[in-house]
Amino acid sequence: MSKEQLKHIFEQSACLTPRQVKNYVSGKMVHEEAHVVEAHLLGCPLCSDAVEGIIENKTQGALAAIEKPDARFLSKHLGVPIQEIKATTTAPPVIKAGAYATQPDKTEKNNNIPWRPLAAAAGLITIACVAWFMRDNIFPHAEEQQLAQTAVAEPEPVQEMSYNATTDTIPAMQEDTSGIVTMTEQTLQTPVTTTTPPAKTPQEAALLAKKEAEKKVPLTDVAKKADTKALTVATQNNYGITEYKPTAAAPAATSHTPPARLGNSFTGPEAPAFDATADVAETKTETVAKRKVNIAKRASNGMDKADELYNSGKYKKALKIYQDEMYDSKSNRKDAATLMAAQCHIGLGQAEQAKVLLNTLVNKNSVKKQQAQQLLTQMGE
Amino acid sequence: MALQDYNKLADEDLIQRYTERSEHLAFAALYERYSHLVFGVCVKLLKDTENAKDASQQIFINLLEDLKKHRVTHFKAWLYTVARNHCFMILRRTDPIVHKENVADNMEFEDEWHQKVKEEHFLTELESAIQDLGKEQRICIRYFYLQKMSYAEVARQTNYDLNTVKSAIQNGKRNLKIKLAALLEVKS
Repeated sequence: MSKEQLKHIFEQSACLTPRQVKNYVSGKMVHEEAHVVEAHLLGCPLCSDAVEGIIENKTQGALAAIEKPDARFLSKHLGVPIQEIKATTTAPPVIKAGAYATQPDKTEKNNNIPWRPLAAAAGLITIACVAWFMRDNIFPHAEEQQLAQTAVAEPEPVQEMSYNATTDTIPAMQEDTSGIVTMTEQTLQTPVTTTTPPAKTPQEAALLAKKEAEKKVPLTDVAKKADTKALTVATQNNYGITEYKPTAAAPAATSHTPPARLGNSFTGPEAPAFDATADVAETKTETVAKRKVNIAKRASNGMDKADELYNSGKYKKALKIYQDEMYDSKSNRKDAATLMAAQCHIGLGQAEQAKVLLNTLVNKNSVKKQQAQQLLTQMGE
Repeated sequence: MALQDYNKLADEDLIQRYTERSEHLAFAALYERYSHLVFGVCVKLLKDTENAKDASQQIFINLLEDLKKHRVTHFKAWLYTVARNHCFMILRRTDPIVHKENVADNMEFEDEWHQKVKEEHFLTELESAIQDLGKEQRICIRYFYLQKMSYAEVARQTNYDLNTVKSAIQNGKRNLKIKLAALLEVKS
């Protein structure tokens, strides 16, 4: 038997209220409530006798007599207003002047203002405003990233979407400034493959990932120049984005970076400034459609497929696609394909063949010369 | 201060406000707190609802003056005694032989004993005192105080009659007090 529980045998508690008496006598209490009442009754002869008396005379209306206080009695003998007595169970009562000697209670003011509903409404409005702000300013790329991930994870549906979206949205893109239109045409002729080079070797990937963090600001500057020299920007970005591509481990981030060249609003924090200078008035719907177009183009491109194969370690298959690109007379991405073909050879352990390709890039002073030299250095050349 | 604010005060505070500051709302709060219980006591003794209503109102009318005349420390026990005496007086008018018992002292006794039982050695004595109770009382006391069952649950658990359970708990508790008081006398 617990000693702590025994402490309460002789404990005094507050006397029963009329409602407690009524509920107990009527048998409306659950066992726990009844136990509390009965424990009190055992130590309180006043309540005990009262409950017994009411139970014994329940049929004579004793129960009904205790339900409401006799307001007339208090009013007659104490001068207490009847409204005051009735109000004790509802709204705050009217204070009779001079009925008390102490100072008025300060808590009585503003009792008529529904503070709780007002506070709840204010809270909801604040939450809605914060959510709206975060959607437009803090997470502007959430939708785009989701689309990019879908494009990478489900290549075939994306290809289909690419075809439809491209034909549907080209006129809308031509409404842009002349520079951007030119760039768009170029993009369509030479699909975005060059803008999304594949992951490098593990060593290089780590190195470039480190560089990417440092060069995000320069990328912004490049993007801002697009309004005056669209074609130049496209070229620079081809090079720049290749440089800034983080790693193969972050395909979503990589795939949403290139659209910066098109000058729309999904390139990151710098995008709003770019929009203002280009004076491109796009509706939100058009922006989303363009995003779909660009992401779909990249996903459907053969180079991107080769990149995926390379990233998944299928160097032989990737090499075949890169070689096709290298020997394609219409391709303007031969250098990028050559660089990646060299990396495939490295992955396959064919160092000599890789060196030949890399030296070709260095000797012809290609835009990939710097990267080719880096790889040659890593190979001990 | 509103009447509902007076309801939060202790009996002693309300009495003080009424007697010293003539705050009638303080007395109204006492009336709201105890009028239904005084009526219950009256209806138990008088066996008539209307007479009990009149009697309880008369008791509170008398209190208006009595509280100012006497210094009341244990209001609840005092009110209980006053209510019973008033009813006995009414009954005496019709039946001169009325047996009354002074149970009001028990109410002060409860409070005093709760303080004592909080001490460790009294708890030990209480445990042994429960062991010495009769079987019926011991079982009912344990179910009621340790399992926190209601009278109805104890009756169902023990197959005792509801009145048997109630009287077993009441008598068991009284016996515990007597045993503890005897132990206290021996020690002192």
